[in-house]
Amino acid sequence: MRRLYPALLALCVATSPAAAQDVPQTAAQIQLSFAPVVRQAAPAVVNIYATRIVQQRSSPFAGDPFFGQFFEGFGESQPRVQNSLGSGVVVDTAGIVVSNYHVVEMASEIRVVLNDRREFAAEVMLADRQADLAVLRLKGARDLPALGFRASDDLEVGELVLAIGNPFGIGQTVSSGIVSALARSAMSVGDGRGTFIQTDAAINPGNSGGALVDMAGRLVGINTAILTRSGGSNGIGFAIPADLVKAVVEQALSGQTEFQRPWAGVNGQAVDAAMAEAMDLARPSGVLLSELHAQSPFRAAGLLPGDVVTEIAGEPVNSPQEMIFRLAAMGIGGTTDTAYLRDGETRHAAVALAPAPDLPPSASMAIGAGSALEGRRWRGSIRR
Amino acid sequence: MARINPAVIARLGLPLAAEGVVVTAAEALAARAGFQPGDILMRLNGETVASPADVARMAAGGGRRWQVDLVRAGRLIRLRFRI
Repeated sequence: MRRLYPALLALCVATSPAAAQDVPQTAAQIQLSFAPVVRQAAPAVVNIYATRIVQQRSSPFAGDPFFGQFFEGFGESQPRVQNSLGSGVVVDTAGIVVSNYHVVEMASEIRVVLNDRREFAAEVMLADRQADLAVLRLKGARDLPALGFRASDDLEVGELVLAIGNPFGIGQTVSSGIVSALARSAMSVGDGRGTFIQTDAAINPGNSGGALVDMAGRLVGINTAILTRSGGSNGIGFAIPADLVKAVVEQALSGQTEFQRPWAGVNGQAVDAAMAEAMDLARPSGVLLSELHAQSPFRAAGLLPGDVVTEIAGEPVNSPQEMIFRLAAMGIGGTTDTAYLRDGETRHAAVALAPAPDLPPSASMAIGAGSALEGRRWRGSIRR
Repeated sequence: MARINPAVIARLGLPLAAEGVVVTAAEALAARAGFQPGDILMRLNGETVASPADVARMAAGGGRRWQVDLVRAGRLIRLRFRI
């Protein structure tokens, strides 16, 4: 027993800093509750009501180049008002709100309702279909509660998270869960090239654009999609990581109306077990480059087809989607350190973060009237 | 239509190896003839086109019969029409 004391003492000393955080300090903390987190984060999550006017096609052949000509002027299209609802997150006290592109897409009018029932009209500052993100400015808003960003790199599977949003338009709703997985890809969101944080916190239609927050009330991601057969939540929801959200918001604040993402100019595939064996790798990891565009910054930095990209900016990449996400989250400007394998040897290269070059000039033009392939309305007939 | 370069590839999601001229919008006659946005033009009446100016020059040259070879979603397609 006497021998045990020093060991116990050492244990106490070693664990005391962590224990100091874990031991409940007040009666409120003894009751396990997310209330303190919700109290901090919920005021920054807003409901978004968007109105768009769609032209209803009254002829089934309208828009068809061949059959449409027989129905020209037959039953003119009727404008129809369509409403959509979603959620958003205040990320700047001056009234900057981030939401999903698909919530505000083509909207003619956007209204934003805060959790304290204040209402604002909003305008779109930046919209990006590829990332499925939109940044809005609330007209006449100031001193709003805002959420800070949680860096995506230190997020771990198993962390407790809360989803806050406006499911089915019933009003602000908080649901809890954990981070189920990281860097999920191959979802049909945006252009299908994103990576997402997966969570089992209930996410339903209307939660889109809402916040996924950690236990410190920081924004982990923007809830965007679910995998479901019934239409409701099956415990598999996806959020856009905060790093990408932050990059998009920063560009919006700097006055951009379109998100500028660095261009990779490469095709590649995730290294699987068979490929890893063939290449003598210890385990399957990295992205095997199969094709590089002549103007690709990766080619300019010395990479060649057959190289395996393993890390970008010190973070491992295991799929082309992760590569694209890492680049997009860093934004335009400067270079990034890229680690790659060639002939079993790890090498490093500084790859430029630049948008796709418009060279040679795209020389966009339309063929005008008076030529055989004119682009204007034409009264003659055409036979195939 | 536009000449294919990295910016156009990124914007329209074209294959990395795409070259030549891409249709960005097709209206009126061009739409009736079957052109669609995203079509990559290869040959007009058997003549290879490399730039929008080539297409404009040939279109201005006239002619009633057209045979257009283009790549749509990875497939080679031939449009034939008379105007």
